[in-house]
Amino acid sequence: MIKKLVRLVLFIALVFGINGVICLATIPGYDVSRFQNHYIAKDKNKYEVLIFGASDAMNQFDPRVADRVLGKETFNCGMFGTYYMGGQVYANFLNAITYQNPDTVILCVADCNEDNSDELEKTKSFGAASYHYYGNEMRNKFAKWQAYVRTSKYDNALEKIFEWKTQWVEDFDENTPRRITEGFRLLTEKGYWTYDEEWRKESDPRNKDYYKGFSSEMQHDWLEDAKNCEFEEFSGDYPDYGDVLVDGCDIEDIARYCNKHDIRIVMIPSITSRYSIASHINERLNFWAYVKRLAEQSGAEYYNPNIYRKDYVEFLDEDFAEDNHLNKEGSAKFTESICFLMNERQDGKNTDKYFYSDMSEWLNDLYKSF
Amino acid sequence: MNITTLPFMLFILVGAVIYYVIPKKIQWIWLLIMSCYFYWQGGKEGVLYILFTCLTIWGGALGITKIGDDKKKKLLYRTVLIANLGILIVVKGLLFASAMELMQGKLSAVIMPLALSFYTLTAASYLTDVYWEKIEAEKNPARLLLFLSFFPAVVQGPIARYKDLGEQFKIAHKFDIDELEAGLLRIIWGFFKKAVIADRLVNSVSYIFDEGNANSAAFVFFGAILYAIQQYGDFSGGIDIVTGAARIYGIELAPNFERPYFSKSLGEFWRRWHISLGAWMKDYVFYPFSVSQGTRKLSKWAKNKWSKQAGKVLPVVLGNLLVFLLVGLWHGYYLHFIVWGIYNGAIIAFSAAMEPTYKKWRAFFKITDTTKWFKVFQVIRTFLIFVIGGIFDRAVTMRDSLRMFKMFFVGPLREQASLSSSVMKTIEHLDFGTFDIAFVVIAVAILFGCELFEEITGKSIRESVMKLVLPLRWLILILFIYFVIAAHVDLGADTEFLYGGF
Repeated sequence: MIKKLVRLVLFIALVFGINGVICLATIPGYDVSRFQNHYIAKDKNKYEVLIFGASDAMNQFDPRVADRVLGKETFNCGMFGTYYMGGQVYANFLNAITYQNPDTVILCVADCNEDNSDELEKTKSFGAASYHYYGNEMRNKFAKWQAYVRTSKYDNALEKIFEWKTQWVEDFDENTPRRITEGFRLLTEKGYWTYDEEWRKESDPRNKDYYKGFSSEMQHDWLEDAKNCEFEEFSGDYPDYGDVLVDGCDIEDIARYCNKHDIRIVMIPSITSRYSIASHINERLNFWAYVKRLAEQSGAEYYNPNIYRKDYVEFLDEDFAEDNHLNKEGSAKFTESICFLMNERQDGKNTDKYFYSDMSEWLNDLYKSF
Repeated sequence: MNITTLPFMLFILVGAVIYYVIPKKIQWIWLLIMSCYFYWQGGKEGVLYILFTCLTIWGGALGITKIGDDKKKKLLYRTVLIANLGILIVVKGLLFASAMELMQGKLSAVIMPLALSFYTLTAASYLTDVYWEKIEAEKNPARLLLFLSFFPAVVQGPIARYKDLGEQFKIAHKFDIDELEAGLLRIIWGFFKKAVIADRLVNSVSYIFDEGNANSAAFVFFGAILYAIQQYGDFSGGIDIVTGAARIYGIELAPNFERPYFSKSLGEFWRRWHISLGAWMKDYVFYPFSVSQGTRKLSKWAKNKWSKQAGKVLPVVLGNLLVFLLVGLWHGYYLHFIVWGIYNGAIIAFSAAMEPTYKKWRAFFKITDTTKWFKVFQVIRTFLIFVIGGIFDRAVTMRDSLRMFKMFFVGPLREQASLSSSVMKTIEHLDFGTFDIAFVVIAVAILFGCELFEEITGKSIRESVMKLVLPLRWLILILFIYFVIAAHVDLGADTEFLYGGF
């Protein structure tokens, strides 16, 4: 009986062990998520400012600029492959604070619109990509578990365990065999195991600009498509609070922790191009109102870069890598502007003058810009 | 809680740990708690229905054993039976009326309690067996509730008998690693049939049947074949999962499928497909009908009017027609289901009537029971008869079934698209990739190969694999598990079962 039981346990362990080896090669060794999680754990208590959010945080908040303007050590914990800010970001936060003792946490809250509502149907379930990269790499096992349960639904709970199925089978294309062999090849290189930054830059075709968690978005040819978008009619109501497609409880959990530990918390709704705003005007206004309310309830500072006064900072089309992400120049502008406002607020100054106070004026200026 | 999801797996595994840790005397209480929780999760609205059935059947059965007067006994039996079957008939009728919008939206709130058909038939068999004095009435209503609601069997059967299942709850079950292993393998086999084969074919079958795309005989045939595979994968896969789950608890459920696609006649097919329903119909409809006073009189009349053979065959013919009419109605009060039932019943009845003639033909052509080519012919013939009948089962309306049936048999030949072009059109429309096609083909080949092995050797494939040397056994199992993971469609997803709404 005992012999048989041991044999059964060994068999199950073998099944999962093989799975582990396959998954190891599925995440390319140079992947940003590996390095983020490695350095957040390795550089214990080094970072004073941590930035969290989806890919917009990762691509837009440049620690090189933030370090200079804030005069503090900053690390960007933004995650790519995350469609909304919720469970996976909370788990990432849990993982980071295991190793860091920040005095400031910046939350870039990404929204969703109806264009990706299919993804949203799976709300909790999505995050497959971010779980694949980030969840696996989290050193804190409780955070890893949280990433799993907070982003899992029936239909992908198992796929997050056997993730090669999603990565290799469902997304199979002509490059898959190359990716598989490449994944295994990278495991044989020294840089993989030593987390060598130089090795990463040489190996990674996309994120050569990586620095302390930040990686700028590659420039896309987005403008022509954006110009053809249809503008949404403004409903006429400036919303006070709305049902938005974002998982607020996870953000509230982060804010609760920060308040408890006396950590300064800043919330920033994601910045999007004027085309994206105009084509989803009602959702955007609704979403900003929601984040503002969240910030008020959580005692957080709130800055909305989408409604900066033009004489303060104006984001031009050239600042965007695509509709919802800034490019390297845009991110420098963005980081500088936010950090400046944070300093101002820290000094007790009123920052309202940098923003439109009258939304109808902002709306007029938005439409005039086309 | 869907039986294909991770929560269900956790539910049965955690439940099993507690089951084997607690005192053996109260194991059945733990199963009852689990079953009640499972049933509640499946829709709390249905709880009252199953409680009503349990209490009336329990009280009715006890009453039957205590009443001495036969007439009163009969009256009580019939009253309780009609009350319970009546609920099934009425709820199904309301659902039909609601679906047909006969009540103009007034019935939008009609709900089908989880497994109403299955537990009602289970309860009816228990009551009848008590009435026929085949079994003793259960004194404890909680035990009867467990028998009716046992969580693996309550999903989509098999329809249990008290002497088989109910008695197992009275026995202490020791943890047996072999049972656990066998149960888990059976569950994986079920996932394979359901998530790899059936779920991968859902869209193709729907494209052909629901969207009216079958515009040639070949297309209809292709759709009907796919449906036959999907239906078998779905239903028998689900049964494998629940049977495996029950086995982990040391409980053996009645077999519900026995490689039906290797049957040599339609009658045999129905003895190997949904066995528990077939057996229920045989014991509680066919036999009572065949030996009833009216049927005996009719048989006598036929014997005098025509021949001895006619007198012998007539009850069989009528009994089969009645049984399959009821099976058709059991699927729903739609004309195409009724026609599907009669189609099966009529063929079986015709075969029964023609059996003496067939015997003569076989003797003339020197065909014996061991003639291999004839066996293969019979298997293919039976499969095709079932597949063609499936058009009535799967089509959305009677008009659709007739259109497809007509297309299959009398469609203009010149306009007929070939089978290959039908396959290509379906693949193209559904945007099937190389993997999709390869997975279906490999999975069906594995299923067919395993069933063929079992059919020829009479040995269980699982037991045969488990007898292999350890490295080879593990290699086969790991390759199979990884194939299921790679080839599944939404493994662990909340997918529906074809027979889940019964």
